Amino acid sequence: MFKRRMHLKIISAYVFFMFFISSSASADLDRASYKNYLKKTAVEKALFNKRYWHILLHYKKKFSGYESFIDDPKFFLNPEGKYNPEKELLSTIESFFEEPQENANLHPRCRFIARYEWLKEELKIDESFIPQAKCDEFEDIFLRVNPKSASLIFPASYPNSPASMFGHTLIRLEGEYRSHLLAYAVNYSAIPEDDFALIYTFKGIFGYYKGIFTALPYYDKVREYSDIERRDIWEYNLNLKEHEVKKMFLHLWELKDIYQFYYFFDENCSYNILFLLESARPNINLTGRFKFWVIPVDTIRIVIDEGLVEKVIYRPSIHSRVAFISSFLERNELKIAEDVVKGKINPEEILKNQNLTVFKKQKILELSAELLQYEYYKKVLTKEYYQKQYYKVLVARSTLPISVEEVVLQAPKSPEKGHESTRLSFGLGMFNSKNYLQFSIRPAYHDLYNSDDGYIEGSQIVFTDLSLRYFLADKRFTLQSLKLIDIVSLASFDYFNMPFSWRVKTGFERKQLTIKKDDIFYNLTTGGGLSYKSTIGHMFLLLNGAIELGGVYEKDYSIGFGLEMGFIKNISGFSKLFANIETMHYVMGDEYNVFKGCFGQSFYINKDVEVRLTFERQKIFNNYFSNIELTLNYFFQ
Amino acid sequence: MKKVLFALLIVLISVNLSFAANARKNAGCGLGAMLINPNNDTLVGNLAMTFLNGTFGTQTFGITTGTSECDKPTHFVKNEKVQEFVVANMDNLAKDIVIGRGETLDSFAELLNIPVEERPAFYAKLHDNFVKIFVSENVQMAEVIDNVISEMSKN
Repeated sequence: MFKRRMHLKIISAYVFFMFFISSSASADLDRASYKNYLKKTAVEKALFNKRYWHILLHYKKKFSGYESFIDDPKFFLNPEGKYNPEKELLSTIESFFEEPQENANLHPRCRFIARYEWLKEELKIDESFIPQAKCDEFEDIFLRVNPKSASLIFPASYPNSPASMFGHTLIRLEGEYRSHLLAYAVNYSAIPEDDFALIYTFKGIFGYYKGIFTALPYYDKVREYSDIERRDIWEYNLNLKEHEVKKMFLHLWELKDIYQFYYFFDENCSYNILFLLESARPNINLTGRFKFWVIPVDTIRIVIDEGLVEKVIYRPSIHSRVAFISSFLERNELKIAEDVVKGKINPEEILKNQNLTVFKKQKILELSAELLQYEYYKKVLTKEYYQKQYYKVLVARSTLPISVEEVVLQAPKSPEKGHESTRLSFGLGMFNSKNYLQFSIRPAYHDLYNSDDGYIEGSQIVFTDLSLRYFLADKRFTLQSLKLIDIVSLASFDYFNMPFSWRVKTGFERKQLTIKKDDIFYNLTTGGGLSYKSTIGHMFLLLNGAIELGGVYEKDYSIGFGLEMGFIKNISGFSKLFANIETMHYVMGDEYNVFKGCFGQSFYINKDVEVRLTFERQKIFNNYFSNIELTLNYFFQ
Repeated sequence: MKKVLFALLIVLISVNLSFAANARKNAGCGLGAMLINPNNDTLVGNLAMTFLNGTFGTQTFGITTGTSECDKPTHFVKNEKVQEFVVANMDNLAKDIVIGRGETLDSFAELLNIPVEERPAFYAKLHDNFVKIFVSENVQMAEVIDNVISEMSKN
């Protein structure tokens, strides 16, 4: 009722106003007073407090007032716009009255088209009172993309790079085509400027690069992720309606060429994508649900939680496709494909081979084609060689019948079905007959002994794992460890690949050098080796090197190397058995040897609860230490 | 001293610092004309790409891939989408044609407005005439499109 009365008031004010201005002679005066009227109405309706205004300007609530995530001054029409929603709103209204320059596409009406459309609706703007501006650049691209539906796209990690497990998300805008390859990908990423990897990493984390939105044909993105980077892609079809997708596109247009400083941990690709989704459907809250860091797979979980996802589709990478086709072939047949890639066998010879069925011939040639692409994308083959050999393979394959039945690759468990990212654990343990309680928190993400559902087997990525111990007898609290980074990649070798398995670990740990003396020290370990996965389990062998610094050492440091051998057995998804033997020989600084053995088992009670039992025994100098620990791990977001 | 060097070598064994940031560029109009990504196969390269969610591109709204350096087909000159698609997907298209199915082939058929019910026949025709369409390893986009059109018009 109240609302309607307000409405009536506004209308009567408007009628009066119209009467007033129609009596005025000057069009400029009309415009000026109409402008003032709009500004006044906007203030009365407190539009600057409306959620949609905050979404469009990417405002976040601060301790006092607001601040926009956007850093580019071009994005604001008021010098104080970044911090002041009201001033920005009034300047935005004012800007619509500017006369268009030569290129009308730069006029705020075109440039900030989502703001314009929203204000037009909220204020019932009469367009005859404001200057005309034809936004043909926008119209052109809008027609070309013709967005009708949208999907959230998640390229999973690529083989042998657990850090990429954090993944990436982008939006796909689908037009009238049924084939999604013909859709467009909208992507937010950093624009790097230097060419040195460590500087990249540093700058990427700490906001030294600008991030911008880009749009590309989706097939380009598929090739980039699926073929060149060898990552599986997960596609989450959203239930956004056409008018909602259109709103998202309008907002995306506003963000074209607008930068914001890129921070890997929070203001990253996945976080910015959420603003686009909110601009499509403002009554959902996505951006407000993150506090400290944003892990892409978590954004998928909350998008599902908000009821936006209709269907999940798996798009296997070239890596998965090669493994899949290989599964139809015997070892000697794989060898033929390998020889074709190496140029030792002319594809025509396969056709003449009497020992092979037509099906086998088809698969060998299809595998050869995939492998040639695989090697070419990895830059192992030259373009000339690739073109020649790839063409020969295809010509040979074209003489065989087409594949009648499509055999579809079974999708693994999708990433959002894996355990949540943050882990809290409580442990009971006994270290050399001293009982202790242990408490740990690990913000991210996954270790070798957690359940593999939704994750890549043999990959570990740990960020800032903090463990505290309380010894019951001594009534003493100790910092047990603070692992800053602990990444392991156990990429199993197969017929075609002999990948390098590796580990990088750095952080603070406690070490008991003598029975009496233990202390915290800093450690950096890197290692490399091989791993092999068979039906028995996953085995690995790594050669490790370590630098350690700390007061625990007489010389304050120690440098060493050693071997690590491990075994992991996944028992039908509900449990994992593991064993590990490690030696370290410290040859610089304090010189001594360590031998360590451990074994244990994890049980997965459900997706987010795990119980783990570990036995560990080690020999340092001539002292033996043993440890038994039972931990309850709980995962949450 | 040898010990020191050995230990350091092992510590650094998997840290490979080479990382080149080539801009992406299109290389040609035939087979193997892929977008070239920076070589990120090194460990640190990998990490760096991860921290940036790396896409390397200069165009912000690369709605069109661009076919400016390619010859234009004589048929179908107006349909830029078909040309762009074939340039960008030629390797996968050729592969789908010889296998007789696939998403790239479906997209191609859709761009050519082939009705769904006519596609099996269309795919069979492309498969059977593969060497007439992809006449050599150096075939270019314009030729592929022209050859497809002329095969379609034969009956």
